Amino acid sequence: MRKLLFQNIRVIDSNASSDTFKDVLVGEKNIVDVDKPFSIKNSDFKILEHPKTSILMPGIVDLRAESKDPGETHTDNLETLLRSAAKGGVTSLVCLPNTSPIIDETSIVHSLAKRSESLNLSKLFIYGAASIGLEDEKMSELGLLAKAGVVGFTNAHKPIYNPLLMRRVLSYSQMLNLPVIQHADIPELSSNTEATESEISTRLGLRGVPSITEAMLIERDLRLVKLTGGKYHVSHISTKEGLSAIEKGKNDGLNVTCDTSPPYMILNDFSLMNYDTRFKLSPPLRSEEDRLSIVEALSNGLIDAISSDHSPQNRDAKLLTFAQSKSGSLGLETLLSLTLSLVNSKNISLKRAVELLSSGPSSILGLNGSKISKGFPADFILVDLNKSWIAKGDEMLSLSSNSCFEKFPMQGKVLSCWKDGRKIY
Amino acid sequence: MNSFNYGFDKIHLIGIEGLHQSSISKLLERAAFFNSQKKNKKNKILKDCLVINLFFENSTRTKASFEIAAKSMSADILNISVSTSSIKKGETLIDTAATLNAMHPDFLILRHPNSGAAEMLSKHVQCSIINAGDGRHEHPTQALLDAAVIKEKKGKLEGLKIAICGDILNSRVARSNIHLLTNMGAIVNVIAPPTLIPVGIEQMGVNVFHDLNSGLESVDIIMILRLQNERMIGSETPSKREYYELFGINEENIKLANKDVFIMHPGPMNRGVEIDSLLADNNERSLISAQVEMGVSVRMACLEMLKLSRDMIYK
Repeated sequence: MRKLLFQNIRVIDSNASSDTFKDVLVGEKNIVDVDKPFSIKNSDFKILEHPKTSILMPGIVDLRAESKDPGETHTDNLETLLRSAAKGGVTSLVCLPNTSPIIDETSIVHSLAKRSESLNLSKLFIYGAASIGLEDEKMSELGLLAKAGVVGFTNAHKPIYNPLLMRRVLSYSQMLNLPVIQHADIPELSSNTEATESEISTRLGLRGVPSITEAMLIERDLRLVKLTGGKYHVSHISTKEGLSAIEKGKNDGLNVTCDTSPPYMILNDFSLMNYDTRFKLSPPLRSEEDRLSIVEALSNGLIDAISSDHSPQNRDAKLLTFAQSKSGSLGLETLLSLTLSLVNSKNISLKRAVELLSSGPSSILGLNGSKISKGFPADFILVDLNKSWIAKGDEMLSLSSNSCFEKFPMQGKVLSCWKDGRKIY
Repeated sequence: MNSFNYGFDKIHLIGIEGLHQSSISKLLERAAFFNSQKKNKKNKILKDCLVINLFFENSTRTKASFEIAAKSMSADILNISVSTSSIKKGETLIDTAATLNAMHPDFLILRHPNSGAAEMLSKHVQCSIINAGDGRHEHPTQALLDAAVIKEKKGKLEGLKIAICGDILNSRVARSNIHLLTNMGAIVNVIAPPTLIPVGIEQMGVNVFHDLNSGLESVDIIMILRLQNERMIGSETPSKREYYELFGINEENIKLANKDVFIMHPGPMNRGVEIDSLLADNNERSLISAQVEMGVSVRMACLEMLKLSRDMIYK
């Protein structure tokens, strides 16, 4: 196969801490050479044209995407999930164990891994269920699941709430050197709620959950992390109080990380004013004060990663009243552009954005992050920073179209996506 | 009749929030007019119109009231009660509405246990939606009829001091009344235990009291809300007798209010829980039957208002 050359292209690489123009030569699987602009010559290569405003950055690593396959393949299937990922520049993603059957034993891990590999698209990683049947009672076979290749343990959309179970999972997973992924919430306070408790929920007559439930569970968990020495990660953090709990944990030297997702960076609970079920999410959209604290924490390093929190829901599940409809939004295809919107608004630097999308999540999973350097696998994306587009659920590759960013103007688009030397989008 | 102008340019009545003062005044004025007409005398305002009552929750008085209003305006009316069990069987609100929409009604009166149901439906049908109560959100015609009764008895709304007492948290009647009364310049006290006061209610322009006696001080009207016994005892409030002891309205505590105070209740009442039985039957104080009577007139005014704006928009 002929080698491909990106000539004089801006390369942002958070691992190598660089933001410079380079020549990047790509071979069959790996990056063959990286050098100063126009310095790579004397080789058999084809030059790939690219717009002046484009950059090359490492492929995005997404810590949280829901696979509806197996179980609900009319909502989304493995192939459409992985194609959505590639289109969004996500070259590695981790799916949740809340499939049907639930990923609480190894055969489903093997089957999903095998099927995803045969598709030759983005790399699918898998979280194992922390409890059997996600029922929050008995510990799953964490060791066997780890052997089968899972990269962490979680109860998916439900918290690991039982304190005895949490203690044991944190202890046991430490032996396996894998993180425990928490959805921080207090079920007794949040059951049947539809929104964050606020003046807005009161006006709309929606049942509200106080935003402190997130911090309440994180605070408890941190004591167990201290007791056990486990590795603890909070998914889609969304509140100011939750962030201060994380900050305290980090200051105490605990092994604690967290990620947030675009809805909590960009939207607040004002979006609910028309009862549009696209905005029904879990955790629910928060106040503007919370949103601002999330943006600040992305900039100051308190938040370690941005995940898509991709959750396809079929049309019927959203064509209901707010109370009856399911929570969740598509996220893979808009993840990068929405992160870049914080760059455009000067809240974070471009390098920080790349870090939050790539090296940050990689290190949480204990993966070797991809680098745009000689000898590394060709795992990168070509992004046009200036390209504007409008998000439309119907045009997304998922079988579902429930995007909470429907009709949002976006800036920055993935032009192509490369995984192990293969162009997957 | 055609020159009558409500200053309203939408085809649905979803809530009081966002309704202009002048529209509210016109509605109250027209309701008073209809109320002064001979009862059960028919007019032709809704001739050749089809009104469908679509109720997903039990209701006696609201449903009957809309039916009588529609009939006395010469409309045809169809009553559909959908029990909650058939919602669980899988038929969604949108499906039901699409079926009914295909019958080309002019008005769909909707009651539904979920907040936002009326607003959602309004985006999927061509007919006018009147919200007859959606979850904990709004019940606009109840607030309008309460206001019409108050205006009839007191001659005004502005400057009146009105106490709303009871389950504010779960009440759509409370929300609609708060929007309407504060918009029209009344002073509103809400009185309830903290577990029944929703977060941020002060921002809707009301004073919050947890002590019944201070909340009742020199008020002109006491609106009592129904305590949903079956669901709330042991959760949001410890017991019926405790609730009555702390928040029940009786002949004794209304002495703290203005001497010509009136008592209102949207019904159905729990005698001996939120209201003392004797007081409920005190015809000098209680406006409860006046509320029921005015209910029909207010709903006629609402139907007329929407008919006029439909005629304008679809002309």
